[in-house]
Order: sequence, then C-alpha cells, then structure tokens
Amino acid sequence: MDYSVRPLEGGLEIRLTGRMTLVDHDRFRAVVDSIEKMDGGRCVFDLSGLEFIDSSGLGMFLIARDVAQPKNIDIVLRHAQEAVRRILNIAKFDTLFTVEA
Amino acid sequence: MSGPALHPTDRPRLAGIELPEPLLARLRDRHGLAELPAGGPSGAGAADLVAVGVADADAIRRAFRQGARTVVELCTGDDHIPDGALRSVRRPSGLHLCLTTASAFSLDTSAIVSEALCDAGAVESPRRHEVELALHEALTNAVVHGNLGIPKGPADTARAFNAFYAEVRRRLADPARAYLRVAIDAAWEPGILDLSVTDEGEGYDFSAVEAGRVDAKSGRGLQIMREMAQSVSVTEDGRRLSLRFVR
Repeated sequence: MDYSVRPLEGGLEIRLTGRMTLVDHDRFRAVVDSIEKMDGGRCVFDLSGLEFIDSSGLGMFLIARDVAQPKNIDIVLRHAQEAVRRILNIAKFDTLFTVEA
Repeated sequence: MSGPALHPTDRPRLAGIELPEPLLARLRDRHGLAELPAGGPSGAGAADLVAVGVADADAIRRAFRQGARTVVELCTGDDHIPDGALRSVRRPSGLHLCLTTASAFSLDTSAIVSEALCDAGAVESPRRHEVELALHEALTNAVVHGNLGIPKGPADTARAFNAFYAEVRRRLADPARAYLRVAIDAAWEPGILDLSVTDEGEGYDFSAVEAGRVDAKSGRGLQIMREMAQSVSVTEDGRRLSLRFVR
C-alpha cells in the first residue's frame, strides 16, 4: 500500500493505493499519526486507487476511527472500487463511517 | 496431463531457480525426476515442478505461466521435496504452491495464486477477487495462528494492534517458525474449484472464533471467507482450511 496526505479545506485527504493488508501496519500507523495531529474536521480517505483490502486492513480503519472520535473528526471513506466496497459492506462499515460513492 | 511433445519422458521434469546444480541433481536422483532437455527451454520452461531457492514473486509467476503446476520453495539446507508437492506434480487440473512462512507472509501470495488459477481457466476473471480474498484470509490464518503460533488477533486498542504486529514480526524473525511451510493446493473441475491451505503449526480451534462486534478490530477473516466461498471447512485440528467455490 502507498499513501499520500494533503490538506483539505476543513481537514485532510488521505489517498490510499495498492493493497492494504497486515504487512501495511507500520505504514498505516503513519497515517494514524497524521490524524492524531488534527483538531476536529473531516478526514477523507480517497480509496479510488485501493485495489484490495483484507480483514486486517478493516481493523486498521477502525484504529483510525478510535483516534478520530475523541477529537470529533469525521472519517469519510470515498470512491471505493467495487471489490473494496463489497468488503466494506460485509463489515457494515456504513454504520461506523461516512461512506461515499 | 501434459502433452507428449513437451514431455517425451514419463518422469516429471524438475527445474530450479536460484539453486545450485549439485542440489538439483540430488533432488532428481532422490525423487526420480528428470532434467530439462539440453537445448530446450531454459529456466522454468517446460518443467512440471519448479524448485526455488528464495521465493520471488516474479519467479513464481513465471513458473506458473510457463506451465509448471507445482512450485516449491526450498529452505537453506533442504535436499528433498515435500511429499505434498510430489503428489501434485502433473495432476490434471491442479496447482500446488509450497512456501516458507516468511515468504507466504511477505509475498502477495493470494494474488499470485489467483492469477495462475485465472490463467489455467480454473477461475473466471469476475470471480477472481472473491477467490483471492478468501485465500488471502486463509493464508493469514495459516501464518499467524498456525505457523507463528499466535492464538488470537489483536485486541481492541491501537496499542494492542501495534503489539500484535510486533509479535508477528518477532516470530517471523525466528528461523524455527519462519521456515515452517505453508502449502496451497488447488483442484478444479467444471463449475467447482477447491482450495486448501495447510500449515505446520500446532493446530487452531476455529470453533472458538465468534462473530465479534461490528467495530471489533479482528476476527473477521472467517466471516469474509464464508461470504466469498460456498463452503469453508477445517480439518487436521485446524491445520488445514478448505474452501470450495461453485461457479
């Protein structure tokens, strides 16, 4: 998995590309560090370049959510490809995150 | 079965990648394998069985693409091929990949195998992702809970997740665990694909895995496999997980 972070009006946009699995844990920790430095607002994950996510990847999003919630940061998962969207649906992520097409 | 034009001898042909010739000669002698014909295709070409030194994604892909149905990673000092790999050589409509735990974890193994299954006509492209994801989850279980012997996934905090991953890395650095094997077997017939992942761990009690809360950080692997495959079964005290896909 690769990632890039850029400021967005009222928050951050984090673009993830490639495959997001357990081996990406350390890299995703850097993403979580970026969220930790925020103070409210929106953190938008652009998933259009994410080709594959596994159960560990889902767990990592939930870690990000735990960090975001006390800071009143809204996490948005946006533009997921069909295969990734299907996994997000199976995990009922629409009940935990703002999921946008 | 491979055609006679490529295989004038009945003995399966062994090719090696990153392995010294004396070792290959020993393997051929021990297992009754043939070498590739002089002047024939080099490397993995036309081999039934490919043995690799240190597994490399490109080398494995190339071996499958060139027609090998069995690819085995040998550990340092290994001078034999595992029985499971030998049984699968030249099996029609089958594929076998045997890797060390370290390689199974670090390579995109599920992507490599699902790609080979698509190329072999065992999986149609629209369903490749389902096969790849279910296989990936089965491999993660075999590596983490099987060969690395970590009984549970991470608990529900960021710190626990960090500690879990640190433990995975620590155990992967232990040769006694890193060199245990993970074997993937595929067999197919029209409309049905059977995949199994076998590890060499101490076994794992899948019946203890419960459906967690929607925001639980771990425990979704089995749920995902059940969504992707028509059936999921566990045998050999949890050391073998089998997935059936029906087209």
